[in-house]
Amino acid sequence: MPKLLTVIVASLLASGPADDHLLQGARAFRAGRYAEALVEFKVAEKMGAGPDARAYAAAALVKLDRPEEAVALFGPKPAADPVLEFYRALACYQARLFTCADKALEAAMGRFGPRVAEEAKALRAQIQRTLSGEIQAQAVDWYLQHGEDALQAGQPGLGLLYAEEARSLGGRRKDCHRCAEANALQAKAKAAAAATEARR
Amino acid sequence: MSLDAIHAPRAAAFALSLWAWAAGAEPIDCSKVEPAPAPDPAAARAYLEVGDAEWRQGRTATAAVAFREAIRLAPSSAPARARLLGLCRESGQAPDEDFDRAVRAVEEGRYEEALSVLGPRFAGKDAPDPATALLYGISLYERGDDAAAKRALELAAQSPQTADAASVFLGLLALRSGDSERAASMFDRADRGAEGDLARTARDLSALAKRDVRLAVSLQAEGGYDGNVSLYPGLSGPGDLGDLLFGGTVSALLRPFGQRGPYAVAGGRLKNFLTIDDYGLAWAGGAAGYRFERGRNELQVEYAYDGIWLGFQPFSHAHQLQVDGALDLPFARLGALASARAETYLPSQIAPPEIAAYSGPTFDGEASLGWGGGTMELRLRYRGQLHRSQEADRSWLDHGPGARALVAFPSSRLVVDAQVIVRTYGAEDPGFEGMIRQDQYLDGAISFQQDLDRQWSLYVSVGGRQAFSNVANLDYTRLYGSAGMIFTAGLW
Repeated sequence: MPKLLTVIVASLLASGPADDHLLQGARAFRAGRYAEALVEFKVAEKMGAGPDARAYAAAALVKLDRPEEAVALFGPKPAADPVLEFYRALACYQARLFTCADKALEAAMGRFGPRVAEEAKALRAQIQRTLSGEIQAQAVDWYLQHGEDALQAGQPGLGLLYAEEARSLGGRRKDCHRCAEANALQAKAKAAAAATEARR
Repeated sequence: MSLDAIHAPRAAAFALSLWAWAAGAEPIDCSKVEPAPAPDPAAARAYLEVGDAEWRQGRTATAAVAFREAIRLAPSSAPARARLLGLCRESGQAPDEDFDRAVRAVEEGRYEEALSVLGPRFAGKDAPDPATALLYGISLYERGDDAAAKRALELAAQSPQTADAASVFLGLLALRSGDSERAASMFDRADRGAEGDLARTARDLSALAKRDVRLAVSLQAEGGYDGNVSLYPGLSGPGDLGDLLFGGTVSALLRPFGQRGPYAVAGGRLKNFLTIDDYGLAWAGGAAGYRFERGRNELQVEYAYDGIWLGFQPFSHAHQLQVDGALDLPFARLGALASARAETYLPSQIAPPEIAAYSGPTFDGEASLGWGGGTMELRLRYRGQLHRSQEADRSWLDHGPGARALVAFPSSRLVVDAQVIVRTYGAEDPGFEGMIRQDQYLDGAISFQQDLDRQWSLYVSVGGRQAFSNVANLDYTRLYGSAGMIFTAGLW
């Protein structure tokens, strides 16, 4: 994804103490050295590079096959940059958060360049195929369990996404499998997320 | 639950925990770090923090990248160098002869040697690396130094690389202290985090821990067939017909401090035959004792009293003192037992007056060697018994070898037991034409127990005895079998 480098370089126009690390991270990312890129982006964030560094670090986590951490790092709001939003969708998809991925892709579809748009289209088709089959009760159970686990691990944002996915998938079944529990978990996760946000 | 069942999987858990580190390790660059042209301590601190955060999540490769950069920017940073060295050692890329020696010592059961190697590292100025903390904790656990083992294992449990193995041993410690609830929770935690055999071991231990309680009651109902009912001492000769049997047992166990310390058991049993009324048996008894443990070595002293009623009339009662223990040797587990029992037999409408002559002391002794543990166990033993009664021709000395094999499955157990006994009576018996009676017994039994859930289990048992005697007509064969249900409930 060379465009990510362009995005990062463009953000460096206002040079600061953390920008060297952002640039080094971008170079490592382009060279496929994703662990190094992640470290540089995180150091840049510690040195005051702002929320962009966090999103770049999340993109590196996607490449390192750590999607849940990436989803948590991206946060609930869509990324301003469509390329980063595509990475957010990828993170959701890898974390099996299909609804989250589909929503992100749908919202950003008009802003993608031609190549990313093609990839996004293929990914959405794949998501539709996955969701068109019969939803097993165990799948809903899995999402609820992951949501609870994420809440207990102090990641309410991730917990909320899993709860939403559980509610969405449960609602596709005739028996609305564990929909009430999914609703309760969503409420709990929202409250925890709000409390976390207030502490910040 | 026996202590053996708990101790048995520890070696597997340990070996597998070592395997888990290696299997889960990511490739780490352990080559020499070239210093940057200009040091930057502030950036080095940021790299160190990022490295620590990654390391806490078990992301060793990313952590190593950060630590290397911290060293590059601040070559004198001791924390960064120590952390990178620790990661490289864990991944097997940095030679550490002392640590390797400690690993070998633990694997071969030389815990004192492991402690002497690991002790200075553990007590050093810097916090010990998790692998050292784990090995040190395991060695202390095996030595029986539980408080110190707990401190070391809790340190190891803070690291993702060693948390699962440490949880298993923390669970074993909790179990040893009688806290089965905490033990089950630790095993469950290890089960959730670990993979493969370590997870399976943790799961099995968790199931055992949930059954391990301080106050338990057990009820058993059985039905079966005894092919030679009349073998109760002195009542009649062999050869009576067999009969269907049915009965039940109730028992209670109290051990307020868990497996170590004082305990008391009490119980009763009823066994009746369908058509032969005189041999309906009732047994009631109780025992109190104290169990000492240090590491895998154990010693138990016990006083017991019991009584038997036959055909609803008092038949015998006895006081017994028993000491038994087991010691881990480098090549096997050595067990020993000694007991003294004062038996009194009582004449009644069913038991003839001469039954009283059997009264007297009985002394038992046994030595055994055992191998294996966990899923398979074999024990070879040699036992002897000396009975002194009021008349020499009713006294005896017997002895002989035996063997017991156990195969444990996740929720069932199969036990095979065999024993040879050679018995010689104490004097010529006028009733047997002045001969000194000499008998040989071959005993065998197989039992299978299947757990249906946490409280219910089903068992089937079959066995037999072939007796040979130098007295004509005293040879006999006895075959028996029974099946039943056992209900066990933990009340505390």
